[in-house]
Amino acid sequence: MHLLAYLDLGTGSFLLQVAAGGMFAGLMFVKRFIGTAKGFVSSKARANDVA
Amino acid sequence: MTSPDRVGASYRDPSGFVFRRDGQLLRQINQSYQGDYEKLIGSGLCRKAIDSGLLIPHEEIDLPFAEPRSGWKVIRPRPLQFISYPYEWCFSQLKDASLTTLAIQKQAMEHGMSLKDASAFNIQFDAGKPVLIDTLSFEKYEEGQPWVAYRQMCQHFLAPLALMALRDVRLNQLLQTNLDGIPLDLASSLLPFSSRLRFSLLIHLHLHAKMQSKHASRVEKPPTSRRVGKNQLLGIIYSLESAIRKLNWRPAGTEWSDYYTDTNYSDSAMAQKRKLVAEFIDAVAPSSVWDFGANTGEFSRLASDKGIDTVAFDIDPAAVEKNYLQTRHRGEKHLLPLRLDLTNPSPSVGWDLRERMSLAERGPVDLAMALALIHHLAISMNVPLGHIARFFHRMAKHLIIEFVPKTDSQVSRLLVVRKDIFGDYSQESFEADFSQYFTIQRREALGDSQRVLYLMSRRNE
Repeated sequence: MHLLAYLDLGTGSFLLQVAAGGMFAGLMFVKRFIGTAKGFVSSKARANDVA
Repeated sequence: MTSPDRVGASYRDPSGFVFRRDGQLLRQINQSYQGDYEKLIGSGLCRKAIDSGLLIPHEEIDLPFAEPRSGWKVIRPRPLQFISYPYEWCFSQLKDASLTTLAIQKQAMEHGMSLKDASAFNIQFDAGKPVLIDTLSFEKYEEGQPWVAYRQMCQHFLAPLALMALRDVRLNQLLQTNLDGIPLDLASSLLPFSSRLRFSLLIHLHLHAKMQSKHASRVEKPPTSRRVGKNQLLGIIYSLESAIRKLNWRPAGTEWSDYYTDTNYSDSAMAQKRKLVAEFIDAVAPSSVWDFGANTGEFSRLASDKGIDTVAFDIDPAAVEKNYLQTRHRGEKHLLPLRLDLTNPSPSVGWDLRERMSLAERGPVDLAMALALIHHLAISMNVPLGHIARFFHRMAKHLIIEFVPKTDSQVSRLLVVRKDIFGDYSQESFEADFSQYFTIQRREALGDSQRVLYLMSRRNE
């Protein structure tokens, strides 16, 4: 146990954001890309069905 | 005009504070917050957050400052009917409050601002929905800066939700003893090993705890060359949101959540009880109701469906969860389900014991209801009838209470495995003890159930 009360200056939280931020940003873009691609494919499929 | 009374919870933020004057709840904005407030209004963030139901509305008013030396503006937030705390919320209430906080942060970033804190205590339930009540929580966003509220977001929301979902739903009670959120090293040690297999929990909780521990006593400021870009920050926000959305808890078969299907009431006695409770509510015409032992809120809705602001308290997290999900599903605006152990109600806690109010400090309520409850307090928990009467006298101006006699099968069940030491538990003693604190207005037998329903009014001191 390592009690941090009154001592934590937030450095760990800051460094974690620096270290992990890029990775989460990358994941966000990948997810958005997949979502957009899925939307594009399904709208194409719907358009073909209508035609 | 009376002198201002500063609210005990409002002392940390130098940007301003909340105070009461002449029965109004007001917020002083200090000169030091002028720039951020003007950005909040000027950027359109305030209007958008209010319109989307994320921020409590307020109006600027021309009233004297509570502290003139630092004051710049006074605003009047829309009053809330009842202040509740995260340790009184069920799982889905805390989850909805978390998602609201993240939604606000995303909206703030779109307008060049950021939340400077992410305290669960800054969220309240207003008309059934979670809303941010601290208008001064916003600051100008500076590209490259990390999110100062990230640690708080993890400690106040992600950690308790993960513990509730993956370990035990009762662990949100840790928020009562840890007012700045559950320490991440504690959360990390309590969570099951399998939680490490969830990538977002691995980073935001377990690795976060390790990083805190490693750098806790580092005195120098973090190097300014290291930056967190806007997209990186958004990535973190979206990751937190995704982690929270994936946490779920389903109530099933706890002692009370199935209570209505496990009672000894005949249909006619139940119908009569509903009719009488509704009649008693109409007779009192209260503006607020607290229903103690509300279960999933069947009787609470007799009040809230009439537009009366009602709080439905129950000890069972599953019953509160079911009740909340129902209020959310039905869009109910006047019913707030909360978890409360009546034999250990929420105390005053925090700095100077004034930061978070006890249940009693939030009363008295116009009308309390205690239906099918007294035998659990008197027999299961050994609370003498006189003490129960004194408690309700402190909490409420009027009381609807159901007396359940020893001959009732539910009481017999409580006495099956224990010695009957409750010689004083009788209708006569009940009336004698309650008459010391209340005037009995009505007394009605509940059909074939042997139970009796009372309407009482508080005697003046």
